[in-house]
Amino acid sequence: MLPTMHDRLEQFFAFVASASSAETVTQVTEPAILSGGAIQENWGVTLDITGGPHAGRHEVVVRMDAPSAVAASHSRMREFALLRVAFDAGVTVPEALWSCADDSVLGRPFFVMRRVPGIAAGHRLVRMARTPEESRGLVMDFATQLARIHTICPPEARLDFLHIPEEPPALAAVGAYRRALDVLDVARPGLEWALRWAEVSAPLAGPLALCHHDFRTGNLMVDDHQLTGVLDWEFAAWSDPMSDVGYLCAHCWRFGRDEHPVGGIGEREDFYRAYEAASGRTIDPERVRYWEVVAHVRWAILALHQAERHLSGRETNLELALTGHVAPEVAFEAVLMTSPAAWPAAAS
Amino acid sequence: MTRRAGPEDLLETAARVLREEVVDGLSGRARYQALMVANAIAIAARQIGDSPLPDLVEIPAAADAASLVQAIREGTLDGRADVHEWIVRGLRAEVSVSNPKALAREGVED
Repeated sequence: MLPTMHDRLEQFFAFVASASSAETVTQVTEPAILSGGAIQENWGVTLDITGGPHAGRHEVVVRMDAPSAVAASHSRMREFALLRVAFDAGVTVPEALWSCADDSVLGRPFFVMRRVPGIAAGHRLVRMARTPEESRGLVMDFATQLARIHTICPPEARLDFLHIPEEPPALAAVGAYRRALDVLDVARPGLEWALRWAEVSAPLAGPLALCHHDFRTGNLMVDDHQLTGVLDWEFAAWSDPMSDVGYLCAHCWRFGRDEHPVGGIGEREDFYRAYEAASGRTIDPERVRYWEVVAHVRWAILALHQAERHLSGRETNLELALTGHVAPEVAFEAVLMTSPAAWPAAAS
Repeated sequence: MTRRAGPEDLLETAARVLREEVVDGLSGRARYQALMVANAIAIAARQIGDSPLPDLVEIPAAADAASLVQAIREGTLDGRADVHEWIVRGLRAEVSVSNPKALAREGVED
């Protein structure tokens, strides 16, 4: 059993004191686990720091791996670097303060970031009362932030751990998802069908940009109808910027609010217009649709991998077990979107 | 012979009690967990009455699931309507157990 924050508070304060050149570090509130992902743990704590450049009171989040983490996600140290690069590019992200790769402090690598106000939970966010103007403003906020992320392009020395794909990103994705399916060792004809469609329909490669690859309702902190932080950078990669647009608009991330294609919150037209204005890129709806299909395949495979953690006996967890039951409906959507009429003429 | 509620009846009723009566009195993490438990019970109730998936024999060029997957990857079944229809039918059966509400998506694209 890995230690928790409570077991290692003294070590943690000593680390913060050293990293921030402080005289003393004390807690104002007990660390409390925040609602977080199945992949990592987030602890909220308020610190009083005396001395050094960070003297004062700070509400922070300590982020570390969950007891068993998904292999495809970045280590905490890499996510720390991604947050730093995004912050410097002007993206609204929690400021990453200090990172620690030394397991002797909390038993796992972790980093500390500033806590941002708001709600990220998708189910709650899509059901909040909003005027049409507020919804429009929020998806336009999503669009300008995403455009800002996409201004980060390779090469970027601080992100040298990110692989630069030699083949078109779409084909790289198809290969990666097939390998992820092979690991599961159960035939999934529906996902295979959609992946073969994705292979023969792959769009031509364009310029690469930093893609968040989990930019969706649920990972976007919102306060008072404004985006306060883009969270969860662990899947970021050099890819086709339209892959992020497709992920955000995919049916599987609308949390039941099908009538609002942009994350269950707003309309495509508003999002596309704001993204085009902020990025100078033109959105090709066909290319977005392509990446929406891929988004469903990707989420279905991730869901199966999460369920596997429960099924393997490594981690008994009802949430993980139920996530496996999301996979059929997500695969269903991908297969409906790739009916024979949607295949390139030469292939049918 | 005693008349008793069967497993599907018990599970469906238990899920309904959780959703309609217990959840309202809860908040935060407890509410979320109760909803998860209700969902798990409802899925289990549907799994009891689960019908078998469509038979692979109907698929030309594939003896079993592994060779079907292989043929799809190799591109010998590209865009084939009969294969698509078979896959849709199989997934429809799975979705009717895991989340029947999602079946309404068929024919909708937005």
